[in-house]
Amino acid sequence: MTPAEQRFDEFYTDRFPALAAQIAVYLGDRAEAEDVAQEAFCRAWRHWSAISADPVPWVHTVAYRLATSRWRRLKVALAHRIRTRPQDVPPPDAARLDLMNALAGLPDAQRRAIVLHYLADLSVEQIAAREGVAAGTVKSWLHRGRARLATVLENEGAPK
Amino acid sequence: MSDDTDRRLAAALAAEYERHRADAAAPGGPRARATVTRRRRQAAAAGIAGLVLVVAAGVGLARGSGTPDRLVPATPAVAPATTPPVTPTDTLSEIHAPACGDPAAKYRDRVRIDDVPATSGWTLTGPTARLGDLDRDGRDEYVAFLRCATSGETWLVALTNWNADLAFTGHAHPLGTPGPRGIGVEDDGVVRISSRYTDTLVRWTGDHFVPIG
Repeated sequence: MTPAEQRFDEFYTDRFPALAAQIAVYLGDRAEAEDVAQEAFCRAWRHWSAISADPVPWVHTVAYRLATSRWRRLKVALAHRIRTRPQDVPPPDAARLDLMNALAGLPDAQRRAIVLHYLADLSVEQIAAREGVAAGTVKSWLHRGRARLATVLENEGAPK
Repeated sequence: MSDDTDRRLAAALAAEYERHRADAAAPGGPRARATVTRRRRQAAAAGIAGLVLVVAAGVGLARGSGTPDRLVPATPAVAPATTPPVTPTDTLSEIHAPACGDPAAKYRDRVRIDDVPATSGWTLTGPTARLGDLDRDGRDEYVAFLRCATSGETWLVALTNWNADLAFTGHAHPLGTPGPRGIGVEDDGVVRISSRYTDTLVRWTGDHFVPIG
């Protein structure tokens, strides 16, 4: 194994679970997320000589682009699949499902902003740069997304 | 939105993230590298095949331009021998789910299975790590789930990329409702179908899947 292969494998092992998990929250479907993450790492290896100095932002950007593309094509089917197929153990509680359904119901840009902000720890400015929009637009996405998700959380906390 | 609600939202998203992270199934770096190597070889082979076609077409044109055009009467001696037509199995025609109707799967290019249109209710899964020489003939096949998302009915299907594009081949293998979650190809070409608690092994004969083990 060459040093480049070894470094790539270490990078893969270190980063795959976190990236796949982020994409899973974004798509609401882990199997699709694992496919997207694997494809992103395949493309990273194809360009490894150019990106190996700092591959994390590159592979994250590619993964989110693939996920966004896939989400647009699959959102109807994914919604059906999430409802119809067996869930992993332990069984999901109702509050979690409510939150995930609310997340899945957000417009694409709002959902992506929420995931990037809360799970990828990106600042408003970093998300704006990645999305190619103004920081104010990202703030608006986050505000609206939070407001809709907060409704679910507040209902969950309300006395029955 | 209160700070408390914001903290709860962050905690709920983090819990969901950790749940996925703990269960993430990584095919592995070597598998990713092997996929890239395979794609490069396929692209190179396609390029060479294209070059050969161009050269052959050029040679044909050059020869054709040097001979006079004339009609040759069709006689039994010069008529092409009749060969039985090869009718490929229409895999998709075997599949029907009442909730989704007939599948209308598509694929995007030679090296990647694409998903069916979202509005059709059908999904085709398993694009990146499910390529292998299933019948040990030296040519790789794709294996994938074709699933009616509405009802969960699932079929295992094989696709070839021997010609210009992916094509369904052979007979689909029904997997019931709800379908399994994971699919993989072992080194010996055996297909591993992972369900919630068990794995099932099947082998591709070139025409249909046969359960083994």
